[in-house]
Amino acid sequence: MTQLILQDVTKRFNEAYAVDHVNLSVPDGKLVCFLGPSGCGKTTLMRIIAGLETPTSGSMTFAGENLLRVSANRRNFGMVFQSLALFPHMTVAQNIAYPLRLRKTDTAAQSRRVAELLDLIQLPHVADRLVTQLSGGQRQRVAIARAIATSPRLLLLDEPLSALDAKLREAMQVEIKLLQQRLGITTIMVTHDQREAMTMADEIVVMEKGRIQQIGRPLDIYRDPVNEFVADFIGLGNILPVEGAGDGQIVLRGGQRLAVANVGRAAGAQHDVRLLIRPEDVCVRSRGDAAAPNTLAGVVTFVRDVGVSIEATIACEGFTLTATTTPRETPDLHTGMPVFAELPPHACKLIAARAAA
Amino acid sequence: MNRLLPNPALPGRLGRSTASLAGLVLFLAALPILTMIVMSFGTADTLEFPPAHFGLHWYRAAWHTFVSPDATDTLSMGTALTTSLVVAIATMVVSTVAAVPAAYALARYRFRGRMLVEQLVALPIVYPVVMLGLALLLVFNALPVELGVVRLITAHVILTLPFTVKNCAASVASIGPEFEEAACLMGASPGRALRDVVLPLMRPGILAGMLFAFIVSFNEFTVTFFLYNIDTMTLPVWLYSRTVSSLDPTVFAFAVFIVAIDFALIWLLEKLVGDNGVAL
Repeated sequence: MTQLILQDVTKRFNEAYAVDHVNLSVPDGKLVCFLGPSGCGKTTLMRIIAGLETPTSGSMTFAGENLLRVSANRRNFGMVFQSLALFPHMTVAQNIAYPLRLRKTDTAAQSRRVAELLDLIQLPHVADRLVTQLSGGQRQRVAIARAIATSPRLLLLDEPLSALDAKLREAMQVEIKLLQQRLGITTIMVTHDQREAMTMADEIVVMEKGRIQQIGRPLDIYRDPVNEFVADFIGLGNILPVEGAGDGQIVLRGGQRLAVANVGRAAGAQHDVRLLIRPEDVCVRSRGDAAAPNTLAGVVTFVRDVGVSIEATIACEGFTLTATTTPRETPDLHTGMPVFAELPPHACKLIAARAAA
Repeated sequence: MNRLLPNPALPGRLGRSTASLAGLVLFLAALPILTMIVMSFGTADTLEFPPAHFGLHWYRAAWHTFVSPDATDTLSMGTALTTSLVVAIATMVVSTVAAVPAAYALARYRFRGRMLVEQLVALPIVYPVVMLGLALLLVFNALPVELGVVRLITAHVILTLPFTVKNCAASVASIGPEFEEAACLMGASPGRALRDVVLPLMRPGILAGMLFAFIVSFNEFTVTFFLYNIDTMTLPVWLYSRTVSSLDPTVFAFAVFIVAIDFALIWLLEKLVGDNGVAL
C-alpha cells in the first residue's frame, strides 16, 4: 500500500528549479533512498516532505490527507538531520523524551518509552549523559531514537551518516536497515553515497538537476540504468562512445564491432547512445584472438591491486576500459602487458547519452 | 648526539622582544589603575604624585563620608550609588529584552533594511558621546513631562544596545536553524521551539550582553553628565563633582571601590561564558 504520494511537486528558488515536477509514491514500510550528487534537489525534496519548505506548485498527500495543509509540527514525521541537531543543553533521556513531552505524555509513560528506546539502540547506560559526552556512533543512535520516539508515520533521514568515519558508517548502515525492517517504519533517506543507497534501500530514486532520473530497486538500477547519468552515478562503469549501430551490432570509436543484446534501444537515435559495460563483466585474458567475436585488444596501463580484487585500466584503440578481476583469474597482470578483453553481448547495454550541457 | 636545540623560529612561540613589548603595553593599560591605587593610599591633602607618606587616611575619610554624609554635601554617595545601581539594572534588563528578538531577527532573516538596522544598532560605539548627550538633552527638554531617572535609562539603553545585540547575535548565529526545525518536526510550535531550544542555547550570549550592559551603564559619564539632575546623580558624576568642587583625594578611595566592583563583574563574565561567545 502507498501512503505518501507526490504529484508534480516543484520548488523554484527565483528562476532556478530545485525540484522539478516530481511524481513519486512511497510504498508503506519500505526504505526509499533519494540519491544524487550535491545540488540535485534531493534535500530540498525531503524538506518539502518534512514541511520545512513549501513547494512552489504540486500536491502531496499522506494516507489521502492533503499534507500541504498540515504544518510541520503536526505531521508526526520523525527526522534525523545531517548535523543530528541533538539539543546540547539536554541529557540523552531529555532529548529522547522531548517529543513525548510536547505531546503531554505523562511522566511515567515518558520514562518507560525512553528506557525502551535506549534498549532498542543498545545504549541503556547513557540516559543521564549530556549529548556532548557521547561518541559519534552513540549520538547517531540517540538521534534515531529521538526521531522514532513517538512512532511517527514516516521517518526522514537526511544524510545521517555523513559525519561518521568509513568503518562506522558501514556498520551503522546495516544497523539502521535492520532497525527499520524490525519496526516496519516507512523511511526516506537522502544520500549522495551510492554504496550506502545500494546497502540500505528497498527502492532508489536517482535525481539530477531537480528531476527524477530513475526509480527502481537497487540492482535493477545498477543492471539496467536508463541513461548515462544513472549509469555513471551508480557504481563503476565503462561508458563508451558509439559511432554507429545496426544489424545487432554497434561500432565503437576505434572501429571495433560489437554484438550487443539490446541494440533495439539504439534504433533511430544512433548519435545519442553510449555503450555501458560494468568492469566485472569484462573478461581479461592474456592470450586470445582480436578477431574473436566481441574481443578487443589493448594494453594494461594501470593495475590497482587491493588484494580482494584487481582493477585494471586497459587502453584500447580509441578509448580506455576498466576491468575488475580477481587475483586468482589473472595472477600475472601488470602494467604494459598486452591483453584481450572480451565484452559478452548480454553484458553490453546501450543507454541514452547525457544531454550535451 | 641527537640533542634538541632550542629553536627560536618555531611558529606560535613568542620571542623575547615580543614578550617585552606585550609586557610594556599591558603595563601602560594598567597604569591609570595603579596610579589610582597608589594615590588612594597617600596621606597628603594635595594631589602630589607619588605621595610622600602612605596610610589609610583617605579610606577612613571615604568611609566617614559614606556612613555619615556631611551636611554641606548636597548629595550623599549612598544616594548616588543607589541611582547608579537602579539605572544600571534597569538598563541591563531593558537592553537585553530589546536585544534578544533583535539579534534573532538580524541573525536569522534576510529582510529589506537589515544592513541599516545593523548599522544603527552599532552606531553608539562610534557616535561622539558629547553630541549624543547634547542631542538627548534637547529632546528630553522638549518633552512636556519630566522623566527623571528614565532619561538616564533611555540614554544608557542606547549606549548598551551594541553590546547586548552583538553578543546575542553571535550566540544565535552559532545555533543552526536545524535545532528549531528538529523541535518543530517533533511537534513544537515555533514559539515553543524558541522557548525550549533557542533561548537556552543563547544563554551565554544573553548573560554576556547583560553584564556588558551593566558595566557600561555603571561607568557611563559623558552622556549622563548632560542628562542628570540633582535627584538623579550617578556615582561617576558624583565622583567628578567632588573633584571639581575640592581637590579631595577621597575620590581615589571611592574609585578603587568602583574598580573592584568592575573587576568582580568582568571575572564573573569570564566565568559564565569562558573564552568563546563574548563579542565586543
